[in-house]
Amino acid sequence: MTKYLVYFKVCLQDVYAYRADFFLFMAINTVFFFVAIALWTSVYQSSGNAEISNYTLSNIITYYLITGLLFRFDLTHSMYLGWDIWSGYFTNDRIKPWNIITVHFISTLSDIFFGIITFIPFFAIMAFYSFEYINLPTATNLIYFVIVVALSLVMNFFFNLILHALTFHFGDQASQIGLVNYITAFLAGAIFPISFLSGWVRDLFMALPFKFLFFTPTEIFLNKVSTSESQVFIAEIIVWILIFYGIFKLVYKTGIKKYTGTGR
Amino acid sequence: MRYWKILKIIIRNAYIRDRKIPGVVTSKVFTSLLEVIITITMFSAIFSNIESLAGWNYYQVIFLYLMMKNIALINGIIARGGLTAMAKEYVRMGDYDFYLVKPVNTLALVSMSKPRFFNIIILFFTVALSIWVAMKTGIDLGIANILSFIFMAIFSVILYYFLFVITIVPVFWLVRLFSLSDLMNRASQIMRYPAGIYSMFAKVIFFTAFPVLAVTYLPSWTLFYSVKAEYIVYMVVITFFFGWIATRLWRLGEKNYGSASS
Repeated sequence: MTKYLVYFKVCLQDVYAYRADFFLFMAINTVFFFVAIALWTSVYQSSGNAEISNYTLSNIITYYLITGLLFRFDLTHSMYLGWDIWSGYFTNDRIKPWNIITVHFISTLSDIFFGIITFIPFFAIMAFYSFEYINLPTATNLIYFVIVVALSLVMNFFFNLILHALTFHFGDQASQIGLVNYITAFLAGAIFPISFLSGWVRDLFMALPFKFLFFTPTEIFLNKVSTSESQVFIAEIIVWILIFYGIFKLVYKTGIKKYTGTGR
Repeated sequence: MRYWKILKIIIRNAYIRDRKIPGVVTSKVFTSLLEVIITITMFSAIFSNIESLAGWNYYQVIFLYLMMKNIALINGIIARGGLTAMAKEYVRMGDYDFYLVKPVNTLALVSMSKPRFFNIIILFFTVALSIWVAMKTGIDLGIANILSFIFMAIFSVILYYFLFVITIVPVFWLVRLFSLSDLMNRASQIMRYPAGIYSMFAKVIFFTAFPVLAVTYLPSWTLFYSVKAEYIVYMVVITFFFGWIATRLWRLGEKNYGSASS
């Protein structure tokens, strides 16, 4: 356990070296929120309706505020297993007395942790700017929100591990991983709430597990989900974690046999 | 002529390189096309509840978005890769030496250094879609409007490039900033909507101090509404002004460059 704690600290020191870059990245990332406020305020004014697809203006602004926070849990640029395999650096991980998956999870966590820490001042500015519109959750929903976010992070981690492990079989997957994560962010409701879609498209989005990354936690935060529904969602996420873990183990076990350690 | 020859060689190299990595190119093309589809889906969801956004109809708003996309893609074909590499590698690794020792303009050479030729595939699609969308707006487009639009669009591409350069220049002092390469991406989000949705303060900033709104909004407005000489003159003047600022800042930054020890 101690060695993993030390590794976490080392990873934090590593990302801390580029703190100015992190800080600027977080500042730049707030642009989308202010554009979203301008856009949706104009949309609600033009429509003359207090609600669109069961969302008030306050709901939608809160949605984008929380989405801004949830983007900090995006794993696209926080995981390196694929690169390690492709470059041959994976050999270094393999010969050390530790669990490879655990160290990659710790490395990812340190990236996310530092991202959240640097995002806090900007999140505060965004919340302060839009204070009059922000909907706050009940204490129960806030707890469920935290649990769902934490579990969906684990689910997304194993989903991404599958993509990274495909490097054993098909070579460099970096651009494909970027593409898949872009699609999943859309399917998750990161661009706009899934409620705004209709018909079979909406049903399809709701049937996929990616809604747990953005849409479901934000709906919980907005008190649009009851306690019993939240519990069902948690159970669903756990099932998806097990499914993704199972697929990953299969891809990994067959892939490691093909690994030569020569790099590209 | 000399720069044209260099560009031709660099593009040929890029083409040969891209042919060797079809998977990467296909993924990037697909991601870019997907972004267009996702954004149009979002506009469709929005316009199922409203008739117009800040006075612009569904097709006009999509045209504005495609205008932004086209300008970003044109810059992507030639300059974006090089300027991004500048933010991420050239100063930090000392690779900028390679550009400094060449008897050509360093800004031009860095900008041309990593063309993304495959963007042209997406550009064909988005330009064709733009033309179709412009015809679907239901607005009669006069010859004067179209010619003025083309003239202003050329300046838009150049202005966008100079704004991109300005966002990259701090790397001379800060050595490595990956995030700088993303700054114009974020600014592009502002460019894709009608100016009417923004507050007066935001409009003043984004039409003058950092005129990203002028890049897409003024040419599009000229195409759909009346041709205003003051808009055309303004577009030309700010392009030259920001061109002057960008080159001055670049030279100033260069003086701070100390090879790999920067």
